[in-house]
Amino acid sequence: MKEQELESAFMEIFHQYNDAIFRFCLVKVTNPQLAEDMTQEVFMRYWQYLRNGKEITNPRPFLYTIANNLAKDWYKKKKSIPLEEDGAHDAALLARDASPEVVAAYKEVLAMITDMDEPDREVLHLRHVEGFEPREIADMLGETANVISVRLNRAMGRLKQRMHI
Amino acid sequence: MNEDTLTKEYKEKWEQVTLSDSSRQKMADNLRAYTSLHQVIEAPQPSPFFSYFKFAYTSAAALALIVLIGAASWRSENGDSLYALKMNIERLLGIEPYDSTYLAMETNVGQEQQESTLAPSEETDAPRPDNTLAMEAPPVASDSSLPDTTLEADSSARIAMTKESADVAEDDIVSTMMLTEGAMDIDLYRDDVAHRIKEYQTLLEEHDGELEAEVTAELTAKLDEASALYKEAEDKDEDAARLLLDTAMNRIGEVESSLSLLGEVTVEEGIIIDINLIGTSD
Repeated sequence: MKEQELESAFMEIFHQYNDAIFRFCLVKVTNPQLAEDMTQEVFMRYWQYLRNGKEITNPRPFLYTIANNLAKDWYKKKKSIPLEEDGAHDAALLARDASPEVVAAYKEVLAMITDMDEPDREVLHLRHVEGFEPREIADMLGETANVISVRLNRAMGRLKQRMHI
Repeated sequence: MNEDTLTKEYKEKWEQVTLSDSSRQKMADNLRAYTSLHQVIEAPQPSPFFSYFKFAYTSAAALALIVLIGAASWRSENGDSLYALKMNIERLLGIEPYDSTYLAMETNVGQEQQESTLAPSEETDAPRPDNTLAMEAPPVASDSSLPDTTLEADSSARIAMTKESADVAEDDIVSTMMLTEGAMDIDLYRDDVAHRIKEYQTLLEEHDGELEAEVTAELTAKLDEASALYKEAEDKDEDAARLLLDTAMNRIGEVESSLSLLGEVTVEEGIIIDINLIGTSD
């Protein structure tokens, strides 16, 4: 593939998946600003893969896998970051040019996910928001499909409890 | 609320969470810049500037060669300025100073210049002022790498510029050789080659052990080659001998260049007579 064609295909993938990857990064780090940066980094790494001549037949799970790995790196570094610098709940950062309704939705969702453990919100998001099958989630997260299914059931139970259902 | 309703609500809420338009645009711009930069770094292509530079360089070299040929062909009609230009172009292009064509040309030019620049007058036989041609020549005298004597182009002055008479700066070894050998009588040329070979062989012997064995061997080989060429030239006619001696002098010139790089050299009458090697206290 020629350089221009490659870049064109890459930008098409970006426009198709940027929101989904951003949401997933937000699930992982709960910091909108950080999630934006992470989203950009995901696509940069994806571009590097393409540039190295590696063929990626299904970019969607591949992008989530990159995001998951970046989040793991972030968690390792996070241990040394003081909590006050985390800024995890600042929805206003995300919604600078959003309508009041969207800002309200942000806050509600952020409150919901930050109340859950990261493994729970991760599988819930991938299964019920992004629509991945347990087997696909397992590939992305490096787990077995059975582990993911069990984790999904438990996460759904905890979500019901939180929502008093 | 059953599970389906819950997940549907959860999904609907989440799908409202998107990048802001400005953030998405900024990210797209960043990624486009990144991919462009990446392409430049990973797969460099000849830029228009490079192509232009290459074209300009090639054109300049071609033009220089045309002027050089023109200067060589028409120097007799056009006098000293073209000749001086030719010399400078040759120096710029790194043409070997001991090319036999060059030597023959230089000798002839000296004679032509004597004929063409000395105006017929009652003072024709009188000694010429040293600066006659210097005043007529283009401003090549400002080139500090050329000794002032370069422009003393009359043949008597040139022939007189043997290694015994050339009074030049110590770091102008090559230029000195250009001048001295250019108009040198073939017998003097033979003597000079023999003298240089002997001097440098002696110099290498004196510094044997101080120089790296590999360097000594390389320089000795060059001198041996020059010596063989010198011997081969002994029973040849002048033209053939000059060609062989030119090649021998090229080898000697390589030795001189190498010695100059090895340390601080002492030059006397255009020949390196001693060397203070880098890193030694002598």
